[in-house]
Amino acid sequence: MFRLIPCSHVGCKKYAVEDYYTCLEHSKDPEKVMFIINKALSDTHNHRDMLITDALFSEKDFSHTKLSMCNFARCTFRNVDFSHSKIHSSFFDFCLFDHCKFDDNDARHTVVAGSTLIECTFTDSLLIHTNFMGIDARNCDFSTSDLYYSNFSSAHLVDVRFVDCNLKNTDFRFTDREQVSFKYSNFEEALFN
Amino acid sequence: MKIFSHFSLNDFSNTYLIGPENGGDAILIDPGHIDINLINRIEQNRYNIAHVLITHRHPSHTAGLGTLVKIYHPLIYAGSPTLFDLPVIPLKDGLFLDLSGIQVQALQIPGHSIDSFVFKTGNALFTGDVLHAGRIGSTNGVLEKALLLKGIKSKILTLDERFVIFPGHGTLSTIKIEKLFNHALIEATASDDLDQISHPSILT
Repeated sequence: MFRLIPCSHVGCKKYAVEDYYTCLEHSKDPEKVMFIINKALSDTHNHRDMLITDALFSEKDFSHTKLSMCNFARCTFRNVDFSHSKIHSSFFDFCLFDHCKFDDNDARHTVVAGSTLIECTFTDSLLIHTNFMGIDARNCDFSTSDLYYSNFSSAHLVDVRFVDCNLKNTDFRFTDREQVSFKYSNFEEALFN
Repeated sequence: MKIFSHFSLNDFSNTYLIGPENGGDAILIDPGHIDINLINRIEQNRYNIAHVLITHRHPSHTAGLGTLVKIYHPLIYAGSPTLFDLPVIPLKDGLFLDLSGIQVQALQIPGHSIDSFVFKTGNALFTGDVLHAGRIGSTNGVLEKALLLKGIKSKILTLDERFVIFPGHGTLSTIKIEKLFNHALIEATASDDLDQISHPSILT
C-alpha cells in the first residue's frame, strides 16, 4: 500500500520520506537522507513501499533493483541506470528522466504519466499495463519491448522508436507524434484516434 | 494493508486482493476469473477470502464467483440484488463497511451500469468500469454518459488528487493524472465552464 504520511512541517503538503517525519526539503539533513536512499537502491534487494518525492538522482547505478509499490513522484533522474530491474506497481509520475536506461526491465502496473523523458532507452523490456499518459518523450527507444495494454494517450512523442514491439491494446489516442517509428510492430492492434 | 492486482485473461480485467500484512481475512474485488495464480497468491499470503466486493455485475467482474464460493465462504457485497443466485449484501451509496478491520466506503456512480459502485479504502480507489486510465466507462447512450460524468465529477474528482486509481481494466492511475490527461473528463469540465460563462445570470 502506498503510504501517505504528510510532512510534519507546518503548511507543507508533501509526503514524509520513508522512515522520516518530514519531506526531503524539510529534513534536517537531506544529504544523509539521500545517501541512505541511494545506498538502499543500489543493492539488489526488494524495496517495497519506498517513498521519496521531489528528489534528484544523478549518475547512479540502480540496475538489478526490485521496486514494488514505491513512490518517486516528481523526482529528477539524470544518467540513472535502471537496467535489468523489476518495477511493479510503482509511481514515477511527473518526473524528469534525462539519459536514463530501463533496458531489459520487467515493469508492470507502473505509472510514468506526466513525465518528461529525454534520450531514454526501454529496450528488450516487459512494460505491460504501464501508464505513460501525457509523457513528453524525445529521442527515446522502446524497441523490442512488450507494451501490452500500456497507455500513451495524450503523450507528445518526438523521434521515438517502437521497433518490433508488441503493441496489442496499447493506447496511443490523442498523441502528438513526430518521427515516431512503429517498424515491424503490430501497430494495427494498438488503439489510435 | 497489502494490495495485490491480478490480471485476468477473461475480458482483460483486473481483480484486486486486499489483506492485512501478516495473513488473515482478506477482500477480493471483482473476481472475474479465478485461476491457479490467484489461488496461489491468496494461499501464499495465508489469506482467507472473507469478503467479496463487486463493482458491477458484468461477467468480466463476476464470472469467477462460482469457483470462489466452492473454495472460500465469503460475504458478497454488490449493488445488484442478485448474482448467480448467491446471497448478496446490498450496497447503498456512501455506506461505510468494516471488513475484518479494513474500512471501505462504497460510492454509487451509475452510468456504465445501473449497479456500478466504486470502493474507497485508505488512499486507494477501486473504480471498476466507472473510470479507467485515460477514459471513462462505456455507456449505452447520452443520458447514461451524462449520469456517469456527473457521478465522477461529484464523487471522484472532489477527492484528494493523490488518490491511487485501481481500475477494472487497464493501468493504474491517480486522480491528478486523470484530471490532466483524460480527454473525456477534460471535455466534460470544459463544457461545464462554457455553460458557466454563457449562463444568463452572468451575461446580465
